[in-house]
Amino acid sequence: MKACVLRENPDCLDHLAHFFCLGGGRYLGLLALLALLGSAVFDHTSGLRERHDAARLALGERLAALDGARRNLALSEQMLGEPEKSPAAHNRPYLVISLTERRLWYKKGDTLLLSTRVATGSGKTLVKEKGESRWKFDTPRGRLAVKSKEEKPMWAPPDWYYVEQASKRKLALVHLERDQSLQASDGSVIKVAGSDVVREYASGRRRVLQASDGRDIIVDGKLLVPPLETRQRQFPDVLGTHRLKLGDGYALHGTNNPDSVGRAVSHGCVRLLNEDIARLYQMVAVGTPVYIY
Amino acid sequence: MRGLWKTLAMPFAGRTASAGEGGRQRQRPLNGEHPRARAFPAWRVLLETYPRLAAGMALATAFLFLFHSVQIYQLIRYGRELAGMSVSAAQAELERVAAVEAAQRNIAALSVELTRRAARRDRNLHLAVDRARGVMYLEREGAVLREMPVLLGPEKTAGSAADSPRPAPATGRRLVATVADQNYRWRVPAWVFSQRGQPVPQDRVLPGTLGPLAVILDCGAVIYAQPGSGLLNDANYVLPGSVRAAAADMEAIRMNLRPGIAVYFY
Repeated sequence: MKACVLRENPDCLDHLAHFFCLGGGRYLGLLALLALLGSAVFDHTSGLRERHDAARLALGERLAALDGARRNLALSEQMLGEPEKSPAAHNRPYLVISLTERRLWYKKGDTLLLSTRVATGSGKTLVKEKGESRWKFDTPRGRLAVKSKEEKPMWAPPDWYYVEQASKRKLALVHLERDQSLQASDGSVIKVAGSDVVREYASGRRRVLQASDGRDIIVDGKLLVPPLETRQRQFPDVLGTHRLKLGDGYALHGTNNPDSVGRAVSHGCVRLLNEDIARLYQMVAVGTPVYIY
Repeated sequence: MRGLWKTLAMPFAGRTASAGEGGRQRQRPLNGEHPRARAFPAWRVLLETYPRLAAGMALATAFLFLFHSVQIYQLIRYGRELAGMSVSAAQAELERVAAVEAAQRNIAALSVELTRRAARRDRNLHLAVDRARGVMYLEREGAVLREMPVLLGPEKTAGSAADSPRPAPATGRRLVATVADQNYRWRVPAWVFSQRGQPVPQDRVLPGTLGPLAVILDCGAVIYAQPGSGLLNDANYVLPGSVRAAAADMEAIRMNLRPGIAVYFY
């Protein structure tokens, strides 16, 4: 088509030749070169733009990931830094008693306030004649608490004390109730008058009977078991100077037999030297937990 | 810019004059006229002869230069930004890895702390093993009844026999499965013999191997004291993944140990 146009218009060929003669070809070549170069640069820039966009996306993702990691880190630090809800509960004082080592510790949190030797339950078993009753002299393991405190405690011997004494001395037992009286072989009558156990003779004379640890009332060869709440069943000094009651008949107390401390000889209570129980009496509050293991 | 405009405008100004001459005559160089015309005489002639074409070429050239400039500017900008983003991405990755590692450390510490707190809150009698301090506690309600130094067996792959696991120190809350005394017949794993350098006997159920008192946990780990004789009677050897306490301590807590009590490892 073009060739046809040129053939029909010979002037066109002349113009073209003249244009090239005047150096137009060089300029056209330069233009073409520039266009080619432009195309290459454009192509390269396009590629770079794609990489740039991809890199921006990747950077955005990494920054998001970094943000997430930082949030997790902050959360973990916050959780790690959160204090315990009830730290005070772990900073309260408490008593610990080891039955194996026969030792007592008084602690507050991680601080040791007092440590001393104790006497604990012997572990022996006492059986009443004919097997009517059975006692095991163990100090109980577990958690107890100081229920009350007492100075100059009186000991009201439990039944097992009389059974034990009768067994040791090979005597029979005779129980005296409040509203009962016992006729002795010498004609006197043993009965309760007020808070005392008395012996009343036929002449009308009345004598208050005396009883203490190791000195019991014997009536016609039988060991008398006085009623509870009578003074004949209240022994002073046996429990030392102070007592911390733990409930169920168990207690921490002093002793009139300091040599027994450090041994498993008690009937279930925890015995301490009088000076130690006196210190504990001052230091320990009612409600203090006692852990025995 | 102004010079360029003049150069471009010149052909249009001279077009009427040259057109009257037929447009084909080669023009004399115009000495003393425009400096650019002196520098490019051929261009001057071309411009006068083919003003539209030359102007178009000039415009196209200018456009291409402009286009190149923009593209090159973009190239440089993208290059710089890419380099910057590359550095930022690397930095972000480093920081992310550091943050993830720190968070993992915190989570591990948190796990230990939560186990420790769970142990302190436990109202029942339990054992707690502080692995970092190498201490075992007999505790109840946060009260420490007894503190016992212990040795922890390492995590170790033992032997190559079929029953050779990789005993690892217990973690979290475990339960006492069995309280074993001197007469307990423990089925000794074959790898224990391998580790002790002894031949594996036909019958591996041996009484007294764990000593006078041991506690076997639900995970298979053992808390024991060094026995006076037998396979484990070695002060330098602790069963992998297990805990060895002093015999006096085990004896002191003997009466408190029973199946079902919790053992916390933290």
